[in-house]
Amino acid sequence: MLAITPIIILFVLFFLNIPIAFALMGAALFYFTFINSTMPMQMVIQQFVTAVESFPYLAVPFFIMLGSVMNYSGISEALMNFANVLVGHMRGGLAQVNVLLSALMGGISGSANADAAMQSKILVPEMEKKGFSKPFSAAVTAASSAVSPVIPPGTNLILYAIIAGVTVGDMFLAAYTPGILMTISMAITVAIISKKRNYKPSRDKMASIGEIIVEFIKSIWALLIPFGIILGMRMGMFTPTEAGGIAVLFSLIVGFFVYRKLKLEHIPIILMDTVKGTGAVLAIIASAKVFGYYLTLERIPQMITEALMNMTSSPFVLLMVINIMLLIIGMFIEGGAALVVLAPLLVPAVKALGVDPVHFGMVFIVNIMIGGLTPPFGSMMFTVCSIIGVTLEDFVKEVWPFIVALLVVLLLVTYSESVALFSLNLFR
Amino acid sequence: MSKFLNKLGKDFELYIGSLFLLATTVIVIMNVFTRYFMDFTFHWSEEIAVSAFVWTIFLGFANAYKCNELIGVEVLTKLLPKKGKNIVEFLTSLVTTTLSGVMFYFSYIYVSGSTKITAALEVSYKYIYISMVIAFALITLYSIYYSIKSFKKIFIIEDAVGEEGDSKC
Repeated sequence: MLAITPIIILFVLFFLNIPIAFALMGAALFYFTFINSTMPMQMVIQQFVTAVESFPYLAVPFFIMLGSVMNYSGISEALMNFANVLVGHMRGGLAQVNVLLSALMGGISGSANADAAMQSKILVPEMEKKGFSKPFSAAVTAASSAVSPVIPPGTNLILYAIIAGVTVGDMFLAAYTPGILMTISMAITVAIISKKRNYKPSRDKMASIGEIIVEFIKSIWALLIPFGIILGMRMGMFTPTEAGGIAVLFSLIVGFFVYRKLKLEHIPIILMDTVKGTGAVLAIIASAKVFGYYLTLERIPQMITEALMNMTSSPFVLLMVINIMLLIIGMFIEGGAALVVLAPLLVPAVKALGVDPVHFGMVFIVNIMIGGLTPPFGSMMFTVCSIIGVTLEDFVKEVWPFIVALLVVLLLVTYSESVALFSLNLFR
Repeated sequence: MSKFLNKLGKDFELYIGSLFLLATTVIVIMNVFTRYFMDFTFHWSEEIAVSAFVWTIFLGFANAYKCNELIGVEVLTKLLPKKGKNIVEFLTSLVTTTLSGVMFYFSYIYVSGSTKITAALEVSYKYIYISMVIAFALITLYSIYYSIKSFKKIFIIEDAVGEEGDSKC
């Protein structure tokens, strides 16, 4: 009982709205002060600081920076025009553009909140002009932004790879399948709803091949970034961290010289945004390491593995239990934080039952994005509702079909390893 | 924005952090180029990149706390009425002050006792880890300030307080 007091403290601190990093620190400090005081505090501090003193984690600020560069460089607009010539003629045109744009943007950076905020500002006003209701526009924007972190590259994919001890390259390659499935499922949802409500297309007729080629060439530089990252890593040209650095350099060049939207005065803003974002993410990682140190000393992961194994020997049931648990936790805790805290606990258990850790990674990554859309505390939900000005109630009424669509994808990814790892096996 | 924070320089952590981040970025990119085109890498490149990265993290951490942008679980504060919110905010700041103070104390002891030197450049790790001590010192100061501010708010008559957003920067 004494051994799990820190976990209880952690939840109390969470509930008090202590930032997650400090809640983890608090629970761990309690343990090392009152329960296991044989361990010198210096060891604890060492765990804390050495956790982030790592070259692989350096990929995180680069991918955060990439997202920030995109907003200033004209890359987002180029991708939006490209998405419009591809799907704008369909029923519910701009809603389809919204979905496809999230997927395209996900291929470059991959922050759901950044994607949701950007589209709420530039795409939703256009959607309203075309007769879409505000709550529906908000729902599409939030739901589709769940795709961005799943489509590689993405910070969550990197974090999971480091925690589970799989290669970042494998995670990146594998994540294309769930990402694309999520995109398709949401496009279908938009199509069904648009047909029912007779939402108009954003263009009168299908774009000609010529128009598509023109927009494709305009956005080719942006579209090249994901290919460059994957290809370079696959060919062993650079590590994921270096891939992030090169992608930043490339997008800066594109922003300065191709789209000419990026100005020198944007650079300090981009850097400062990134410093703040990096601090917030890595503080959680460092604190989670200290908390994890407590868990290891008390053999909590082994206990959880044993308890789960006693409960069931079927990976089928185990994954269902984990999925339900993650969905509930995701309603309260931001996805990235849930990943850093829970993946170290769950990966050993699923491995023991013979589940491929990359496969479980796909399940985990898709699952935690759904929580961002659900009340009471979905982060993308809050982002779009506050920018667009929609009540949570109206939002929920419109977003549920999208959540159902995403749950279908989650089930598919959970119960078919060949689906979950399709794109990985294709290249392996 | 209060005078206290203005005096400290609203975003000074971000200014310094940006310089470290810039250094990290340039070194990592340079590394790829020297490896491919000149077939060598500076033996210190990874070490400097990671050290600057550690500085970036802790400066960003302090600033993110100051601006209320650390990720938290906002169950209670979203449900409570304004009065209760202020009380929770006071408690939260107080807990953070304690935690951050403890972390400051132990990290200071850890860093001052550290004799480790880095592998490539053989510099003391103190120059890297001091960033952690600074971050906790700053956060302790900020959280004391927020404790006092939220404590005052509990007793102020409702309509006298201007509506303030969640973000403090």
